[in-house]
Amino acid sequence: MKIAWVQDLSPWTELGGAQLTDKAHIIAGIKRGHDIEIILPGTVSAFQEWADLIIVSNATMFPIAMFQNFTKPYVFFVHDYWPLCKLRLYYPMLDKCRVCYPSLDWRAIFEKSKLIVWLSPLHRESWLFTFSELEKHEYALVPSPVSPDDFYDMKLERKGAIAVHSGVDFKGKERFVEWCVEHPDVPVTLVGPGDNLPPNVTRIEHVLYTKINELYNRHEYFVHLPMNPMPFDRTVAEAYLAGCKIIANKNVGALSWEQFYQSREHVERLLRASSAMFWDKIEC
Amino acid sequence: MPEHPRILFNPKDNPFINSGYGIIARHLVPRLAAHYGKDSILVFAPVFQRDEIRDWNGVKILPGVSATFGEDIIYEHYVHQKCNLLLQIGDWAPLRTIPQLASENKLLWIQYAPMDFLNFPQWAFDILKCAHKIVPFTKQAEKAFKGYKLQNVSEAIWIGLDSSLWQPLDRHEYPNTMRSLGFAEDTYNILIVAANQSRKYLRETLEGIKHFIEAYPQAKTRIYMHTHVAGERRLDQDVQELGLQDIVSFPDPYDLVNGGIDESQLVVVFNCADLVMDVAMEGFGMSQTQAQACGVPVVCMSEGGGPELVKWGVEVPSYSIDRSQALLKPVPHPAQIATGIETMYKAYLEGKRRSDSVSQWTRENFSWDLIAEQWIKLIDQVMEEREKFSLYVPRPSEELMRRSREMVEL
Repeated sequence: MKIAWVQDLSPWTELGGAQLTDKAHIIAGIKRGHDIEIILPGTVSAFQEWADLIIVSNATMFPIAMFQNFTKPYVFFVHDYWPLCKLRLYYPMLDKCRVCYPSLDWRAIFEKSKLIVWLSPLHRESWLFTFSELEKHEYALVPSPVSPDDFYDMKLERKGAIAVHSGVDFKGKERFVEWCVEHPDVPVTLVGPGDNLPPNVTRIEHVLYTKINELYNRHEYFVHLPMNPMPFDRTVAEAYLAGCKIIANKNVGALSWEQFYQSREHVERLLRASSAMFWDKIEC
Repeated sequence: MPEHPRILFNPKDNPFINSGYGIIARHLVPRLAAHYGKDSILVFAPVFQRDEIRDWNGVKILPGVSATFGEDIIYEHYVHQKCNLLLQIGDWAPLRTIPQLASENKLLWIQYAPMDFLNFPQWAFDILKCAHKIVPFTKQAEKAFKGYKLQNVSEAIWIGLDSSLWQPLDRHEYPNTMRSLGFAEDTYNILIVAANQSRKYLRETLEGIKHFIEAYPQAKTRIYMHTHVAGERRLDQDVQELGLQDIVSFPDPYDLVNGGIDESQLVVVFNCADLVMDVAMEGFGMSQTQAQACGVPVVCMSEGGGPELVKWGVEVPSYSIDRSQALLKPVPHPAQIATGIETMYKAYLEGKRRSDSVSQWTRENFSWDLIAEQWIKLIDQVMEEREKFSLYVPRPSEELMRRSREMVEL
């Protein structure tokens, strides 16, 4: 198929979770013989003329009229809550969210899509809170393709706990700080921004993606306690595959997959099959 | 339902100061308090006031020590007092922290902004673009801001005046005031009310009056300058150099420094005049609307708020540009000022000394009740936008909060 893949940011250069996920699926799609072109904001492309299918990933920087005028079949592959909440991952799931202004515009566009792909059962459930009409809509649940080849147990000595980006409000700073205060004897490494942290927290501004597995392997626990519904949370899956014990809560999308309660092997199989799950659903 | 506003009102001067900004605070704050509740508005103005939170007619006036804009104090008050709206009235040019915080959605900022300069440098754009709303003082400013491609400009809201005070009075009932101003019934009485600042072009004004006097010696011109003699200019020296010392009066300096002159006394002063002059490019020009409310004609500058506010008077064009500051100002020429005075003097000779229609128009359109209604409408709109566009991050739902405590350990 000729596929136009609409994304705000290039999956080849950006290292955000959505871009890493898209990149893995795009590569898998190319290997399956699809002809995929990335459509970025500002690029001029008559993609509606040549595309057989349009896949819409994170697309906040495109005019909504473009989607309203789609003439080819399109699939939404959503990574957060951007069409129904301006706050995206701060999506608070309040009653007023059901009639929030972006959702009023996007509702009809989603209803006309061929398929909606969510990252986890929790992700879909959170969407249906605002878009209850989509309950019967054709959908797929596809976990983020975190590779067990990149994240695995290195059998290193482990100590303390690690958290990634938990110093940011929407990633659960409030609960993270509470947990650290409740466990003052546990040394905690926080990767990413954060201020006003308890004394047992040591912050590292940034770690290369290629080094993060080793960092997980030097810690016994991975702590992640968001207060907003996280669609998947790659870091939880990464840390789990890297052999960390997980301390999380029911707002983590990854942990709404039952495989996490079975075994690491089940999780490995699930995540290795991610791109196949994606394309099997797209192609059918 | 939008959240109820809790406004941090930040005028340049406190409500009990008799300046233009103090007047705005004095009249707007009580009306906003009456509408939204006294707890919904707190005032902070950067004057020396250390520890107390004062009560001004039920409205809190917050402490803070800063002779200039202490931006950190503003944000501290905003957060500590749990405000959700900052209404800034005054100079925005020195602001640094407020625009940054506003652009991060850490505070919701409305800037009431004059446009009393000819250019608009990039740094000015970069500051004002961060405000959620810029409320221009005048329609002229509104047009100018929009012309500079600012996207956050609301409709202009004029500065009001107390129409129960500002009205035509029979000056015959105030012979002592007339005498104290140096005025008489058979003299041509010119009033200048302005801060003694170079941007007010008081020297040029006096030179223009001198030209007029030379052309019309029979006018028996008298001038009262309601300002400090010593300021950015030594006006006593200017008057001496121009040979006007016998016809210019100044207020008693003791009155100016010892509490000043209240509005009701100033109304009498305006009513004693035959002409009010303000030839600077004003962001608004309160002396112009005050004069018009009394039915007195005005000579104003053609740039700025004058042409919009003055319904009876003469505009003086800009002659050159003052480039001594980053924000450029138009400078009038004394000869053109003299021509402006001449035009109004001729009308005076024809018996056109007062205009009831101009007074009525001004008092109707600048009444504080009307102005406050416009502010309330704007604030309600901003609070609705705050809610609609989620300009703040709400707490997650109770369900999500409950789930955040349901631990999963693998």
